[in-house]
Amino acid sequence: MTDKDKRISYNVRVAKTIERKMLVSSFHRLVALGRLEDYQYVGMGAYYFSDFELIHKSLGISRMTSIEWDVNEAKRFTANVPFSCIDIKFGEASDVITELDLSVPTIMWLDYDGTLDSTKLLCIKRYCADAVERSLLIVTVSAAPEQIREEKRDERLNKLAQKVGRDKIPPGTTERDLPSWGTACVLQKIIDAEIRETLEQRNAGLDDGDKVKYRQLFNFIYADNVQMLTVGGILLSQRDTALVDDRLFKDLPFIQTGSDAYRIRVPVLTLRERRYLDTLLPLRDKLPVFKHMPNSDVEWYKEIYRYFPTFAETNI
Amino acid sequence: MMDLNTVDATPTKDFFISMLVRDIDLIDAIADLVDNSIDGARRNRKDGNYEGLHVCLDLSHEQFRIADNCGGMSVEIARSYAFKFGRPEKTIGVEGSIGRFGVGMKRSFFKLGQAFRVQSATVDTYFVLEDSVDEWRTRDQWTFDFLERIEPPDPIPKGEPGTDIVVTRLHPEVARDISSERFVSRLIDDLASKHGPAIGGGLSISVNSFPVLAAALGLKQSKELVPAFVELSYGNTDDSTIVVKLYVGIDEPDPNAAGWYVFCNGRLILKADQSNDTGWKEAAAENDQESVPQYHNNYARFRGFAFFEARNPDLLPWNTTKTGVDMDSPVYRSVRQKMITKMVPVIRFLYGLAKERAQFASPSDRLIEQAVNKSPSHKLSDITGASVFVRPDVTRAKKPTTQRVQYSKDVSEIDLVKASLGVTSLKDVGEKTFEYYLRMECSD
Repeated sequence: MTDKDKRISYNVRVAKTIERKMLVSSFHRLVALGRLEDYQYVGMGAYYFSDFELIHKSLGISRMTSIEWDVNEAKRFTANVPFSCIDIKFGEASDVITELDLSVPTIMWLDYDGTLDSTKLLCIKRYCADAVERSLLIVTVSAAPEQIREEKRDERLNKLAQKVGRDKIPPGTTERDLPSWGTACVLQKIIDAEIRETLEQRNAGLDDGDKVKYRQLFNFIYADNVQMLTVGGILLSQRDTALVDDRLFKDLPFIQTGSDAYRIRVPVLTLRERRYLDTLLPLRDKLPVFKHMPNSDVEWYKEIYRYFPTFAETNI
Repeated sequence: MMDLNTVDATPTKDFFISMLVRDIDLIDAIADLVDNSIDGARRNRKDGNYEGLHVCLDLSHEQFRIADNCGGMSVEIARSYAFKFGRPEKTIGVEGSIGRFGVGMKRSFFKLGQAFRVQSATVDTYFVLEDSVDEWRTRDQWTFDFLERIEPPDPIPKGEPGTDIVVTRLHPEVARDISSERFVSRLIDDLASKHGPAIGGGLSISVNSFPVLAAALGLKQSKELVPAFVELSYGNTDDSTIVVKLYVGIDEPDPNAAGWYVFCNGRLILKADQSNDTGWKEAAAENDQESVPQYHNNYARFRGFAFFEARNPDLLPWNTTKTGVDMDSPVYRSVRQKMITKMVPVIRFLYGLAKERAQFASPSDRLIEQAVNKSPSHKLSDITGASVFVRPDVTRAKKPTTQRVQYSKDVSEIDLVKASLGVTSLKDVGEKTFEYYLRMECSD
């Protein structure tokens, strides 16, 4: 994490907001595969339902389910539901997933705060076993490297193995792969392998033309406070694969189909500076060099300005 | 003379006579012969209506006999296929048949006794074939000879198409087993479950004149309780297609009947299975105490049915004795994944039902259970199903009206209170002091 990131207040979670907007802007592209309104959205809305709000308003999706674990807080969750079309289902996500009608094209965002563990992998498995083609899966987990306390040999690796199961760790992974953003990189591989293994099983016995393919679209890393990883992609029929591969998401700069992550960096700029930069954007060529603004921030802003949130204090 | 550079790998007859039979138990060997009869029925009645067809088994100390009117086997089939060990690659199998490996019938003969007689008639052929195993063993040829044979252009044989098989000179332990009443009961029970769908289609099976009645496969279904139903299809051409139907739900509690039932072309392969072959263990998250993975009486209501149907029986995921699934079958692995995701909601619901039972002593307080009891069982053919198991609304469940209070205090102090209250049990200490406080401090 850079010092600049730290200067941003955790409460407003700028990077997370940018990520959410980027995801939604890519969801718009799904219209090439079918009506957006036919999708259902499944998320973990908690009390805030930020993602639900954005997705309902901007995509018109009105079949929505929020998964909540803590049934004891049911009243509070229910009281915070912003739209009548949101249904809250209580229980372990891995169980609730099996109770959803996944024959409807689905956008599912397993938006966790915690780190990856075997229950979360089970959710991925159960979803990918059942979700109909055209469905999306997005998984967000903490990717902060484990704290080293005892300086034991392979401490991080062992902790990871305890959480996800040793057999899930990519072969050849060593302790040296885990510091800094290394953990995110390993977790991306684990999630990706889980999706692919599940699909391989699901596709077993099917003719090639009937097999469900997976195309990764998202591999975000960012740190509003802790390092986070978001991995995701789309399940596709043979027929749609070419369309998606060739052009569907081509011009979106944050689409990542491989193990290289897209890092969401939050430029630290004032509102005035941003306003000024906006007047120059979008830009075909390079931005001019500014004397009074750090150039790296300007470069980052150029890439994400469309998704950059404005937070303001207001009296409501 | 064999070349010095060649190694002898020809099979011995002994291998077939004494080794193959070790893999199969007596009941399964008899069921294999019934499979052949049912294949005849499937071949002749493609619509699945078997009214008027019968398979009669007669078991005694002296002989084993199975006779059917299910269409018989032609002279040509007998000559080049039915008696061969293993199935020639080019053979055209019976569409949607149960017979598959080309070992069943012979293995059953060897399992049962030393002499066999097969008589079979089709619409235009008829034959009788007889041999004794001990003589055949010593002969050089791998052949059997017809005793009688009619085939075109001979005149059409009289009598109803069907097959009549008699095995005599039974092995002593077989003679002892099959002449016992207990064995007959077990056989009836086994055939009833293995061939439920065929019997349901009108086929009459009897053992020593006792009818084999199919156990009705059913699930509870009502407006608020709907079993999950999924239909899957693998392969694109008629000969490569496997169609799979899954029904998952609940029925009356019965620990012996709970579990998965797997059928291949109508033949039961797994009965009330609660092993990981059907994903029972994986159906519950390990970290989630709410869904206890291992089988437990709480789940005595669980029923799952998986029907695999294929014109080409080679594609079906069964082992040679038809007593288990082939876990290496890609199609089975794919279907098993679906079985797991479809059973999780049912398991979870049953856990909730058990919890309700533990919380409320009086049945009138158990609202979920009442909803379940009100839902009638239906035959599978009447089940419409939903893509996901629909359960009675659990939010209706009553909240418990009592709660347990627990605390620890010094023994000496407890003794003082006991003496003061004039009671001896800790339960009374707790209740009386609570009631005292309630009366003195909380009443208006």
